[in-house]
Amino acid sequence: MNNEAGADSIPVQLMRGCLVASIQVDLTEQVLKRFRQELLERIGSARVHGVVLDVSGVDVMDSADFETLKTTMSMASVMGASPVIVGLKPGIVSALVDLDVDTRGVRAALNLDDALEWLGAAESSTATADPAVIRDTHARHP
Amino acid sequence: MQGIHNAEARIAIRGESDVARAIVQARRMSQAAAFQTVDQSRIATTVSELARNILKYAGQGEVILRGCVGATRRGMEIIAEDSGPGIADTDSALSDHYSSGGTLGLGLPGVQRMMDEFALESEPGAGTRVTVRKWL
Repeated sequence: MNNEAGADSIPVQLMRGCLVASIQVDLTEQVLKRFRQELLERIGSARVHGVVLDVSGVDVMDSADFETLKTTMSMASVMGASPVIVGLKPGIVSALVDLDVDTRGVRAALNLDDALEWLGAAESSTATADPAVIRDTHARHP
Repeated sequence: MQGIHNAEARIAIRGESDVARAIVQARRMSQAAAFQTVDQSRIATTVSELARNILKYAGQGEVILRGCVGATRRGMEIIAEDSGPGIADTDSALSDHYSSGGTLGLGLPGVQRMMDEFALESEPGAGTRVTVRKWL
């Protein structure tokens, strides 16, 4: 296997005012940490309002990978870019549920179109309903 | 020639790239054994969790993947062992709240849920062995 710098990098494209990251590589701590740094720098320089993490090319995600991605998503959010994760495979989802990871606050969409549509709507209106956010059901709305 | 009941792979775990190799091998074997895709993911994720525990808590160890045969069925067995510090209180290591916070925990309750059989042997100062099985 080729180990030179960039071989495991995650491509990030600008689409409709959002950054879209297509994650197609095997996830390791190193890959995910480098990706986080690159993504946050791009958010800062491109002034985007949304970030889509497309994980449809990922076959295995363990609890550590998920936590690292979730932290990256909250960092993006603190910078002002709404994060959405798309393309989680059924096998990954069932493993993550078995692992009892905390998915609260993670916004998910089935595909890239849905994610970009939601981010576009959220940008143009502050009153948009937000049905896909996984929330602690006791935390809000009396 | 079908299935994996004679197959065995031993992967020494010393770094992240070994974890990745173990995952690839687990996927290959579970595919060859004709596990459903959701179970292939559970097997690969289990290997990832266990191999990362080895790196994190023991520094190094070994993951063994092999086909196994029960009285009426076939399956896959995964053994993760190390000669690390061991686990003093295995009961708490298997309780969910011990591992709240994701990366901080051992993830063992989750591995137990993903697999059909689960055994944890550990002796402080001597090491840890986790043996799990998934049946077809």
